[in-house]
Amino acid sequence: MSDSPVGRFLSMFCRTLGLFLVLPPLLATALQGQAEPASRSNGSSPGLESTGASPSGALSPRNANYEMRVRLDPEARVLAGTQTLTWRNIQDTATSELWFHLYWNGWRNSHSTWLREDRLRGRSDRGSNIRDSDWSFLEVDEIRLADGTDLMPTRRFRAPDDGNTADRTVMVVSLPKPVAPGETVAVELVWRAKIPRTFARTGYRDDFYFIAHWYPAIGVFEGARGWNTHQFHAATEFFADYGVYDVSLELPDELIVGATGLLQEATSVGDGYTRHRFVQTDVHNFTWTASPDYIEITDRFAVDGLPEVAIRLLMQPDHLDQADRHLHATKAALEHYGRWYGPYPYEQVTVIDPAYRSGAGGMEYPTIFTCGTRVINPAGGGSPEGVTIHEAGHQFWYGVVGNNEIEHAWLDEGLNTFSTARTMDVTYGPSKMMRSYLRPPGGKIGGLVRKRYDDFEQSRAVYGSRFSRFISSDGPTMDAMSVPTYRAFPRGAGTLSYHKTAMWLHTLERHLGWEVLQPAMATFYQRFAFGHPEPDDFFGVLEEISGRDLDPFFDQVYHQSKQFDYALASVSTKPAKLRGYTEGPDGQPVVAGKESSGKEGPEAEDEATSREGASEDNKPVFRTEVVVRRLGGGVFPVDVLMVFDDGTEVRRPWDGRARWQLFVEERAAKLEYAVVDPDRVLLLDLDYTNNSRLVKPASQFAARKWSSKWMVWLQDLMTTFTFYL
Amino acid sequence: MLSPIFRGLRRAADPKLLVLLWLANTLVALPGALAIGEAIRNDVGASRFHKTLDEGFDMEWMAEYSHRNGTGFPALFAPQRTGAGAVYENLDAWFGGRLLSENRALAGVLIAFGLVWILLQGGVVARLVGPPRAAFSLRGFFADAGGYFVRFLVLGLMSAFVYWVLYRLGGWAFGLVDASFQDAGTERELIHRVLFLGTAFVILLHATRMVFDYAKIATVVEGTRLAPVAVWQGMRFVANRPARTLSVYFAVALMSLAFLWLYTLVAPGPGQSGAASLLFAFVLSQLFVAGRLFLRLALLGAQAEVYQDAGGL
Ligand SMILES: [Zn+2]
Repeated sequence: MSDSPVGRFLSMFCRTLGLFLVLPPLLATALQGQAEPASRSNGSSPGLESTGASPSGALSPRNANYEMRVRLDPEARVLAGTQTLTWRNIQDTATSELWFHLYWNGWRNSHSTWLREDRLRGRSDRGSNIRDSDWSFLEVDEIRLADGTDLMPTRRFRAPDDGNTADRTVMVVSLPKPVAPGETVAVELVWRAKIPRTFARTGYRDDFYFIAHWYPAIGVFEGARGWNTHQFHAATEFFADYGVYDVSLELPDELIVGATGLLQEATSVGDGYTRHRFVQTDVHNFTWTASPDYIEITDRFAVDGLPEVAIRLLMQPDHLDQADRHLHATKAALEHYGRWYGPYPYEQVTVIDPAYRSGAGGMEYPTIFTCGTRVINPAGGGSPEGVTIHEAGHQFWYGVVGNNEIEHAWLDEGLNTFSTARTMDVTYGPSKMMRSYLRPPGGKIGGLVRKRYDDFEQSRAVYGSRFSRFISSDGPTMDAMSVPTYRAFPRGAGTLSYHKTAMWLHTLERHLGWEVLQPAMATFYQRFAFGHPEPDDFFGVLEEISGRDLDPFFDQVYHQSKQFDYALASVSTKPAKLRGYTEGPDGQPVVAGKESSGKEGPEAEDEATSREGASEDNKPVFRTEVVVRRLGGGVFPVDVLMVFDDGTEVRRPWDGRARWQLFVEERAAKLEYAVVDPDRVLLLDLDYTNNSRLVKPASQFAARKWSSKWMVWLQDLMTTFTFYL
Repeated sequence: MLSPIFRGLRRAADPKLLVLLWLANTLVALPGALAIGEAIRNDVGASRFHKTLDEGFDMEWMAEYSHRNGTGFPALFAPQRTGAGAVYENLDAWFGGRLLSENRALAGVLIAFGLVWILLQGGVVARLVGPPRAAFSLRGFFADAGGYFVRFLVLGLMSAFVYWVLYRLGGWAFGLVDASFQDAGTERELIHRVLFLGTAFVILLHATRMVFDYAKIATVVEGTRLAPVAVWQGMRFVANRPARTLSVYFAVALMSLAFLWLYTLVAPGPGQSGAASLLFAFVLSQLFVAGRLFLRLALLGAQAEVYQDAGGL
C-alpha cells in the first residue's frame, strides 16, 4: 500500500504510463481475437472445450464484445451512449433475432415486473417512496447493423417470464438474415439512460454514481433452446456471455472514477470533461462508479503460488481508518479462494467503499465490487470484512464461473456464502456478536454506534451460513431449490440461494471431509471457468471427484424440500439384572435370583446381581437403552454417541432411514448422556437441542444462572422507566 | 452547589429506605425472571446444551431458542441483556423512547412497577424533606405514601403525557434530520447532527424530570393539593433559580452516568460455572441495582435540600 500522496501519484503515473505504452496495441488485437492472453493464463485456461471456437489465447469465448462511448449529464442525470456490439454465434444453431436486456427499464414505472415483485418481497421501502426524479429508463434511439441497415422497425418488447406487457426490460430486434453458427454480427446502438436514485445497488446519490447493468446488454443465445433473456426480477440478478469491453466514459473533471478493467487513458476533452477509457477482456459485464470524494489507495496482492493482483481501493473519506481492513479482507479472499478453487485470472481488482446511503453497498461486478461499512465499526464483528470477502469471492463464483443467476442463483450465491464463511473463519476466527446503539426516537435513524460483545462468539457452523434465517424462513412451505430462482417466492428466494445452499455445502464438507469437497469444488471452478454451468454440472463434478453417490442427498435438499430433524427420544441405564423366570438347575423355570440359594429379600437380590448382572471383575453391569427418532422427512446417515460415567464413549453409526431406532449397550458403567449426530455433521438439522439427552435430570443451574443475569436487565429497565413518572 | 449534593447523598444513605426500594424492585422483577428461567429450562430440556450454558454461553443454542421463542415474554431473553450489555440496551431504549413498545407483557411489568414507584415516592419524598436521621417506621412511611398517592399519581400521569409529547416531537425532529440526509451528506455528519440534537433532547428530558421532582417536593413541603398547581410551583422554583437547580441536577445526573459506566467495567460476564461464583456475580449486580436506586434517592434528596435551602417558594 502506498498512501502518501507522492507515492500514490508516482505509482499511478507509472502504471498509467506502462498501460498506455503496452496495453492499447495488445487490446486492439485482442478485440480482433488474436491477442496474447491478456493475463497469465499459463496455457491451461480451462473451460474452453464446451464453448467452441474462441479467439486464440483468450480465456473465454469472447463472443459478446462491446465498444462504448458514454457521456454523463450530471444536471439531467442522463447518460448518452453510442455502442458497437460485436456478437458471435457460438452455438450450432442459427438465429435471426437479437435479444437485449434493458435492465434499467425495471424502474421505468410502477407496473414493471421488478417493482411488482419488489412489493412482494416485503422488505423494500422503495415501493411507495419513489419520487419523480428517482425513476429511470433505458431508451434505445437507434439500432442498426454495421452496413447501416436500420433495425428499429423490427424492435419490440418481450416478457418471456410473466407476460407483463408493461415491462420493457427485454428488447428484441430481427435481423435481415440469420447469424449462422460461428458467424459474427456487429450492431450499432445509440441510447439514453436516465440514472435512477439507487435501486438494486445502481444509481446516484448527490455527486456519487454507481452505474451497473446500465447499457443495452445482449442476452445469452442457447442454440436450440433459443434466447435466454429473462426480464429483470427483484429477487434475482444477471446472466451474460463473456467478451471484451472497451469503454470510454466522458465525465466531469472532478469525478474520480473506478470501473471494470484497467484505465488506459484519461484525457481532457474540454468543457470541463475528462474521457476515461477502460478496457477489460474475458468478463461478462462492465460497471463503473464516480465520485469527487473517493480517496484512492493502491496495494498489491502477492503470495507464493498465486499470480499477483493489483488492488485499487476507492474509499470514502469517512472510512479511511478502515482501509487496511478492506485490503486485508480482499487479500484473504484472493488467497483462500485462489488456493482452494483456482487463481484469480485478472490483473487487478477495484474495491469500492460506496457513499453513505447510496444503496450501492455489497455487490459484485467483474473486477470491481462494493463493500460497505459504518463510521463506528469495531473489528471482530464480521463487518466490513464479511461483505468484502463475499463480494471479492464473487469474482470467482459469478465472475469467472458465470452461472445463470436468474435461474440458479444458488450456484454463485450459495457457493460463495459457503466460501465466505470458511474464509472468514480461517482468517478471523468466529465473529463476535455486535449491537447497534444511538437509535433516536422516531425509528428513522438506525444505530449509529456499533458495539462488539466479546463474550458471545458466533460459530461459522451456525452463524456463517445464517442458520437462524434458514430455520425462521417459511420452512416446510419453502420452494424446492430446483425451482428457478426467478420463480421462487420472492421472500424465500434469498434464503434458498444463500443460506440453505451454504448449509448443505457445509454439511457435505463435514460429511465427506474438506479434503474431498475442496478438490471437487476446484474441479468445478476450473472446468467451468468462463462458462455457464448448470446445477447438474455441479452435482456431476461432486460425485465424480468424491466417488460417492450423492444423488439421494441432492434429491432431498435440491429437488425436494425435505426437512431434517433427528432427535434423542429417550435414554435409560439400569442394572442389567434379570427379573422374572430363568432356567433352574433341573431345567425348570425358576424365579430369577431364587434358583439355588433359597435366600429371599435384599440379600438374595445382591447375590443375584453379583452372579447375573455383574461383569467379570465383579462390577455391576448396566443395560443402556437409547432411542433415536427421525422427526423430519429427510434422511441422512448419522452417528449415535453414548458417553458413560467411566469415560468410555461408544459410537454407533446409523443409516438414519427408519423413523426410530433402539441402541442397546451392556457394560459396567452407567450412561451419562447420548447424542445423535454428535459432530453436528448435518447442519440442516432444524433442531439440534433435541439431539442430545442427559440421563440424570438436568440441573437447574443454567436456567438459574441466565435468568438471574437477565433479571438485572429487567430491574435496571424498571428503574429507568421510573424516570418518566 | 456541592453542599446540597453532599447532604442529598447523606440522606440517600438510608439503609432501610434503600432495602425497601430494592425489595420492591426485586419483587416486581422476580416473576419475570422466573418466567425466563422456566422458558430456558423448557427449551434446553435434557439436552447437552446444559453443559455449555453452565460454563459460559452458547450462541448456537441461542439461535434455536430465539426461533422457538420468537414471541411473548420468553422472547425478551437475549445475551446482550446480561452483563454490561443491560446498561447499553436500556440507555439506548430510554433515549429512543422504546421501553413500552417492545413487548406487551414487559409493558405490563413496567407499568406495575411504575405504580409501586409512585406509591413509594410519597413516603420517600416525605422522608427526604423531613428531619434528618428521623427514626424509620414502615407505618409512618406508608401513611405518607398513601396520603400522597393520588396527587403523585396525577403528577405521574402528567409527566408521562409530557414525555409522550416530547418523544413525539423528538421523533419528528430526528425524522427531519433523517430526511435531510436522504440525498446528500455523510454518516459522520449525521452522527454529529444526531449527537447535537440528541444532547439537546436529553437535556430537555432531564429538565422535565427536574420540574416534576420539584413539583413532588412542593406537594409535600407546601401541602399543595392540586397536581397542576404543584407543577406550576416546580416550574417557578426552577425558573427563579436556574443555575442552582440545573447545576445540582446535572451534577448528580453525571454521577449516575459515571456509576453506569463503572458498572459496565465490572459487570459479571458469562463465566460463572459454580454456585459460589454465580452468587458473587448476583450480589455484585444487585449492588448495582441498589446503587442506581441510591442515586435516584440522592438526586431527590439533593433537590429537596435545594428547595429547603431556598426556604420554599
Ligand atoms: Zn453474493
